[in-house]
Amino acid sequence: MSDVSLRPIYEASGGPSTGAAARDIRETFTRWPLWMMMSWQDIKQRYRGSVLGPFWLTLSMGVMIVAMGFVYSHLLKTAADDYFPFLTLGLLQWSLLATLMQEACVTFINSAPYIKQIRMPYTTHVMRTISRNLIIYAHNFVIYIIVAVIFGIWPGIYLWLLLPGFALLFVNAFWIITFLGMICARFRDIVPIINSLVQVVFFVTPVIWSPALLQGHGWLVEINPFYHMLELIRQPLFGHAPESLSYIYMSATAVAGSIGTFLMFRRFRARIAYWV
Amino acid sequence: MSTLASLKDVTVHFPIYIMGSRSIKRHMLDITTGGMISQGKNKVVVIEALSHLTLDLQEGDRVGVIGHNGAGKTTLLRILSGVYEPSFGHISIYGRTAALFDLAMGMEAEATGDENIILRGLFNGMTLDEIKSYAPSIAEFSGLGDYLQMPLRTYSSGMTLRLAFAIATCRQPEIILLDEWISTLDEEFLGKVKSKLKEMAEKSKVLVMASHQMDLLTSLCNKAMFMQHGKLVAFGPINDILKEYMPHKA
Repeated sequence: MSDVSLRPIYEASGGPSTGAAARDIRETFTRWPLWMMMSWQDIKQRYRGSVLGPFWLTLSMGVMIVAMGFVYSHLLKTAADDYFPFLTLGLLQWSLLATLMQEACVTFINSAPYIKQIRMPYTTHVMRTISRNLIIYAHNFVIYIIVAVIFGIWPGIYLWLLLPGFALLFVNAFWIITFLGMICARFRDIVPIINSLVQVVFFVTPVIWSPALLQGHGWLVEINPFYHMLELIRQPLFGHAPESLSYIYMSATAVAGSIGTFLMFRRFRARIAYWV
Repeated sequence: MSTLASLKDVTVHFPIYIMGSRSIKRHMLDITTGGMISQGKNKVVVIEALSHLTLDLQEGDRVGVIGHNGAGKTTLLRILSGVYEPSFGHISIYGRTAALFDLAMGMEAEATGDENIILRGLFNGMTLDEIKSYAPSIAEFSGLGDYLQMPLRTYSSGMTLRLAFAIATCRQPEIILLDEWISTLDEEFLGKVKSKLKEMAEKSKVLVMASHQMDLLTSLCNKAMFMQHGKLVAFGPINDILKEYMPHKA
């Protein structure tokens, strides 16, 4: 060894490594064009040959909102003027949360061809999933603008509250996708479990019904993290401030989840290539 | 002489999951019942793909890796490229590495040739500016001309490979890793690749390639390592190793 003083370009050792785990995350963010390009290609590939492109999803969500809006506003005895904006914002946020959860499970599994062929940070695949879903969300956002114009909603200054809302959404999504992605790569039967869990959560979370209907049983939604995540983005778009409880709850899950997931990532990161 | 790659006691354990071992349900049953219910059905068989490998690659080493299928040749290349990390031991790489494995991996059929140049370049760790500066020379070497504005799905497999190869080799690396794929190429393209590879290999500091094609190995390599069951059996000048271990291959 004549060059011991030289720093290696790459090195790896068996066992957990805090440095390697931190490097993985840091490198993902310095190499941002990589996952941006990958997620754009995902979108393009999914909608090749269709004129509307990703707006197909937007259109189908629009149809769903119109159809459900008429039926459920009667069912829940709510004025249509109040219900349509509520439903629109609920479904808009929910579809983002639900697809993030479902795609979290297959984030590493579906990236197996990359993971087995070329060295790149593992969290690149996490960012690919997040940015792909945010691009789709941006398309769906058109529905909100249409509904806001029709029903005369102007959130004004409250739009600024989207910044902390999306920041908390991002941090929570980042650890959940890393966490679920790893667990699901190792234990393949968790994928269908999560998928059915997401279905259940949809019905117990105030997405299409107002929490006010629970009348005195408010704790049923207050303990639900998905409710708070919805509120952090839904309320500002209505022109209201979310409750401080929602900020506290989501900040707590962001901190606890990130720490827990980092410890797990530190321990098992290098095993992902062998699992997928 | 300087060391470009250093492996110390590198061991790779491959878990092979059979039957219920990928099931969380079975794991829970095991924990709660002390393994009484599902005993023996969720074994994870561990294969030692590389076993306590210690190796220094010096500047000027052009190493052909030989051995039977399953001897650990591909795993060694994957470890050197950083795709797999060792289960035990330590590896240090002191040079920019080009891993020429599955070259067309990650190329998008719907994207144009130009877009694929950017995509593959990003995969290889280049920045956007770097890729843009290399793009003209990639276009020239690929010889695809106006086809670069067309989607990749309109290319023949030979054209795709030509583009992939041009991207992978646009920047002179210090360490080149080559996998078996080279033996799947057609004669005409192989001729072109061979001269380019030879040129690159001569400019690079270290070359490691796995192949069953002895004429290719002898034309590019000066050293060889013989592997068996994940262990390094012998490492030395290629002619000595081939003389000693060729009977194993037949």
